[in-house]
Amino acid sequence: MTKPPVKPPPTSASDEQHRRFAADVLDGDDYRQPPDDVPDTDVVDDSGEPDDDA
Amino acid sequence: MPYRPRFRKQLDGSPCQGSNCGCAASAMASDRAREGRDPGTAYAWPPTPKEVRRRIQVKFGTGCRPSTFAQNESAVATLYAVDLLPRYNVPWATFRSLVIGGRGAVAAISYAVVHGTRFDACPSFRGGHSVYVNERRASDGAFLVYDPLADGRKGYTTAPDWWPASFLQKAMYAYPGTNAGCVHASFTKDTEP
Repeated sequence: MTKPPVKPPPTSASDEQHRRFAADVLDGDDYRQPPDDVPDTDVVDDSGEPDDDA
Repeated sequence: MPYRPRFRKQLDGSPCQGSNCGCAASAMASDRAREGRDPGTAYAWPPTPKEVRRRIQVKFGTGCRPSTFAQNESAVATLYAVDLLPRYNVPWATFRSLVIGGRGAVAAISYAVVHGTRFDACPSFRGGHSVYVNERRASDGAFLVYDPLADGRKGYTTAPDWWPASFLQKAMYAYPGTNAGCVHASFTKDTEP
């Protein structure tokens, strides 16, 4: 598999450059493995009153 | 301009509404990935958080527990023939490049960062949350964010809204368990011509 480039293109790069970089990143092996300690999102309780400092 | 999906709120009255942020964000990502077009599967279109949740319950038996990237990936693949690509501890600049490169993303954030700002759509909540990010605006670098909580109830803000890049970055960095300078996100395919 292709290893992703170390650095992404600058924001000013062409869309095509970003696209190629993105394809390399997503085809590569990096970033696929979830960390052991990735927590779930939390449950929203919207029934209470908003906090005073909101 | 990329296709902009229909907003899906998580507080829709369904039994798991309190924990459906990931399902709602993944439903919107699926709409984007399909650019609004019905894929012709056996399931209802357009995507809804309730349907994504139902599929997760059938496959994983997790009831109303908060969903994971992997569970949502599996659900939308079955329901809408959409491939979401979860990635973990992605450097911010890489995340930004992927969005510029034509992909939407479900992003893990901490709502504690949103609390008290004009983007706060649930002042009693400060936990881990999922939002859908559709695109980046070149003029100021802001991101178009669909917060599943931002449904306008009680006069709160409505989605989608343009979040400054530094604000989205801060909220993503603050999600528990991310490495320094990194974010967790699940990407759509590149939909741009």
